[in-house]
Amino acid sequence: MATVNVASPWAKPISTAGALKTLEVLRARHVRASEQVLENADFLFASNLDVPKKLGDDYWAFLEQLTMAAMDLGRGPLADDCILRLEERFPDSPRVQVLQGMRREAAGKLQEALKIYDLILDVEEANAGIWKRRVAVYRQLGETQLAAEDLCEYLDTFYTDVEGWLELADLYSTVKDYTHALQALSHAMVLAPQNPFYVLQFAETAATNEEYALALKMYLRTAEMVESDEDGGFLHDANEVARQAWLGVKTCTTWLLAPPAAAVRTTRVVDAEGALTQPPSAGELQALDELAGERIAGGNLPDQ
Amino acid sequence: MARFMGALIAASAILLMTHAANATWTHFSKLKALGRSEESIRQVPFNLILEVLVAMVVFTFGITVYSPPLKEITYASEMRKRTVEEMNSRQSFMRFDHLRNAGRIEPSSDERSST
Repeated sequence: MATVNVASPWAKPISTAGALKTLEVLRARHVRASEQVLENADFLFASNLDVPKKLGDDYWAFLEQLTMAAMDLGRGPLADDCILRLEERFPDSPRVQVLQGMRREAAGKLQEALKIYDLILDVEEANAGIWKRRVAVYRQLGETQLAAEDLCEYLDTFYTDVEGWLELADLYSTVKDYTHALQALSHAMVLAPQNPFYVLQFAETAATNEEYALALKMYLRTAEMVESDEDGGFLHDANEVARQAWLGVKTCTTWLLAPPAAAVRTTRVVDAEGALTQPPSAGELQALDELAGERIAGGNLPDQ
Repeated sequence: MARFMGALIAASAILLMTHAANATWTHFSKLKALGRSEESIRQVPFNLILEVLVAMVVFTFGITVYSPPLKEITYASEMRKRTVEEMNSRQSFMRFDHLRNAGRIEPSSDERSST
């Protein structure tokens, strides 16, 4: 079965079956690839395929996907058409409410959208979709403090929402509050323990915050998670996680071996035992430095 | 190519099994026609039992070669196929600032200025 490329540049749709498969994969993986979605959808509509009949029950999920992609690229009339169809089929649906709210946001009517969200949330407090949209509206209005408070309250209620923790980390990073961003990312790591992307993000945030010992620890953790015994090392990966992890190790060891005089800081984030992360000894740092060099040059193959 | 040979071997084993079944049926039909189908005689001939066992062994070889390559089952191998775009897309928090910034949609008058 052919793999579907969800990064750009992507393959242009050449068959209806391929276009349907691409759209299905994009739906399943929650990628925000709006141009790709619209290109495939346009291709489907241009061909003489009876889309509702072919997709069956998936047609409504497809419409939702199409609506979000259309709004993302400013194609208002298409979004309105899709929302109308969804409203007809699912009157009073919370998911359709979210789409209607997003349509107002995309049209620039943020205060109106905010009023509607407040009204809905007064009636049903636990409407997750609408709550998240309210946070997004606060961010779009530039009300970072309100957004952070609202999002924290949301996460107190819905702790397992990884997306929410990532959004909080992004929020804090935008205002350069990296300590709180690290805390949010640590929750995301707890909820998705097998995911190397979040560990890498944690390491990079720690490095941005100049906590090189902590960053080194997390870069090594990432490299450990993506280690591969297969031929070609990380050259065959769809992502750059392994390469970035080893580059990060190299950066941290370089800094720790010869820190600039005025910038020696201890790490501020405590680990599980309540201790600050201590950097490894100079000998170990040297060994790690060499190892990172080998791995970067050799494509993460072991025993290079 | 190897998979094709495996398919051939498995197919020939199936043919062998079919032949054994047919031979057994003709054997018992013959006994019945001769009027000798008492319980004590109703045994499958030894060579046909052997044929079935050989067919089973040959089939095992063939189907093992024919099977498609095994897929990876580790979490790490699945993560190697994913991209940053899908891991950090946060679609529920999708924002539309870029539309206003690109000038495609006019900001409405009731909106406060954003930073």
